[in-house]
Amino acid sequence: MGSDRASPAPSLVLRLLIGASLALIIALSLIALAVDRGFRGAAEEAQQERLESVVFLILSTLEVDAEGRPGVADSLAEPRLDQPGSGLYAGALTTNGRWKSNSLVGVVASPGQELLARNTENVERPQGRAQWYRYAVGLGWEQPDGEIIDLTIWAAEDPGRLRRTLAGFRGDLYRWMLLAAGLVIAAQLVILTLLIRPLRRVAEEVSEVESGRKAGLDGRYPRELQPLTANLNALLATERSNASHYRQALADLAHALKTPLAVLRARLDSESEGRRLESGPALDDTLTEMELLIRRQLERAARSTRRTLNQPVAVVPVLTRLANSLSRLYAGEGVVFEVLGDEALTLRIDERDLMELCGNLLDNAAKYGGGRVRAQVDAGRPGPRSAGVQILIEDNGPGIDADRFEEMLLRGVRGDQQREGQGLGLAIARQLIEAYGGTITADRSTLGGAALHIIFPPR
Amino acid sequence: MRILVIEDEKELRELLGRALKKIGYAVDLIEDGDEGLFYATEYPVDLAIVDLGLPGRSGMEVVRELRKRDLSYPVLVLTARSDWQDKVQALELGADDYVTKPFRLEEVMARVQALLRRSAGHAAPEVRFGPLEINLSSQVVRLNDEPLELTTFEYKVLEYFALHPDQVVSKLELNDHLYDEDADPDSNVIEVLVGRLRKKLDPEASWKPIETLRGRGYRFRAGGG
Repeated sequence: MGSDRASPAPSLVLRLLIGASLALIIALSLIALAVDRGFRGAAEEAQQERLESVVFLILSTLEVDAEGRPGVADSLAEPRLDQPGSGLYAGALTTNGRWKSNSLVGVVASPGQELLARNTENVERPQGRAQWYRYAVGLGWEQPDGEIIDLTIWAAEDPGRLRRTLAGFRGDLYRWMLLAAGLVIAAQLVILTLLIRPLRRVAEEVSEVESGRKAGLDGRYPRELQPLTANLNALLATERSNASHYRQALADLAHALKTPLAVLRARLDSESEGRRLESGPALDDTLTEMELLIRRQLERAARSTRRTLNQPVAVVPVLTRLANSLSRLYAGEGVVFEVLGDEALTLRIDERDLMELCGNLLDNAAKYGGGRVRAQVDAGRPGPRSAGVQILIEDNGPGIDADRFEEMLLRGVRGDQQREGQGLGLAIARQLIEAYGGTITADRSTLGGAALHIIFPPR
Repeated sequence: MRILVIEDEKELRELLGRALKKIGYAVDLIEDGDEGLFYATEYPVDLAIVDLGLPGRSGMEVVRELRKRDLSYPVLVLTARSDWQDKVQALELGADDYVTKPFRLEEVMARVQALLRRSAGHAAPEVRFGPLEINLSSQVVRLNDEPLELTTFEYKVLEYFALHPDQVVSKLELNDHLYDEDADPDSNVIEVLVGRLRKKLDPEASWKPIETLRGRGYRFRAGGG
């Protein structure tokens, strides 16, 4: 029953972590993209402004001679314009000549510029064939003779500088984003673990209840979980009280049904004593039949109260109690009982069931044995949650051979031949043993009589 | 021997009473636990039969209370439950044996006789005193291997002596244990009974099994006089 459970679904923590991390990665990527674009836009605008200010710097120191050739007399306020290959270049041109900044000295692929129409400007960015950021403006220059000539002033910058700035910024951006993502994921993990901890505790407590170490869930739980734990506790309490009420009801029912039967039987015994009642044997049979029927139905009902969550029961003390009680019953016959084994060995079973099955077997051993009964408890095979248990019940009577034992087990099930014989007790014991997944076999004991091996598997 | 029966079902109680009287016991019949406990502690009872399913004070409580008050006579429990847990609980509380309902009257009678015998220290039903042999189960008495005819009351006196050998038994004690509450026999009846028993057991006054202790009662001598 339920032994081959499906493999568990992925853990809640893992699911939440994966979901939240994906969302985080998408959100952080979008943020990084937006910041990158913003920074790039701002950097390019700053570049443009810088080029404009270079153009105005040129314009402020520009001189055009009488032939209309442009030139700059003094050294410029921007030292990079005088430093060859500095990356910042400027120039001015008219129809009659042109001027270039000293920084263009030795530069092979210099940014050339066409003459622009008056009052126009041209902005270029490094894309396609263009390799520069360039700003150029077309002006009208009034000569001392009053002639106005076309003049174009330009400034250009190698994109390497901006690229380096952008690359530096992106490096920083991605490092910080990565760090932030790491921190957020770690924080998530901590928060999820804290959130999931009460659920883990519920699972642990339920397993403790199952193994019988606890009667209910008594930990302090967050408000959101309290309805769950309260309902679980209520369910456990109801189950226990139902089982005990049910058992009490069965006891009352047994009393109510069996007492009138006892009256009938006693009256029959009393009236048929010394004389032959014609209906005596028939009545006797009917009574026996009713008695068996009631007994079987009550036993079946009692079995249905067996709890699913059985507490571990120490086996040796139960056997010792039975042996002490049976010694009292068989005091006249002088039957000697001996119980061996580790007192701490436990079995997950309803104590009533353990007592019932061992009681029946010990009683049989006392009744049909030769005056000596020995019960021994040993640990069985270890299992996932507890080791199995082996119970050996021996006597020094005539013994039972294996074939006859099988027959007796089956005969007891029908229960139609014996009233309170060995078969019935054996059959009850076998049903109980099998209900807990155990087995019972018979062979010969070293005491000389029967040896019954009861083996309960680990659960 | 005086037997107390505590059973709430009237008919069953009376049938048990009748069967017990038939085999020579004095019987007191009580229907509930509280009154039963009073009888069990205040009257000279030799054995009590207690139903576990009593109204009011339960049979288990009666048994527990009896043992708590150091009353050690045998207790036979009648129970409707056949679980070992209930049987063990009853036995641990101090019951000596149990019979599961519905039972055969003869089974209850056999258990009562066995318990009385066991409480006097006899394992087997046959008890021997010199030339006298008593079978406490079949109630057959033989003297020098010849069957001896005794009346019901003569047997009751002999059985009481046999279960209390070498003890001083007063006339009052015999009276209490041989008659139930309703009977009120003259104290001379006991003297007459003991006299008749003496003649039957020892017609030639050779082994003098019953000794008279003036003002104190009688003593049954297990080894003879």
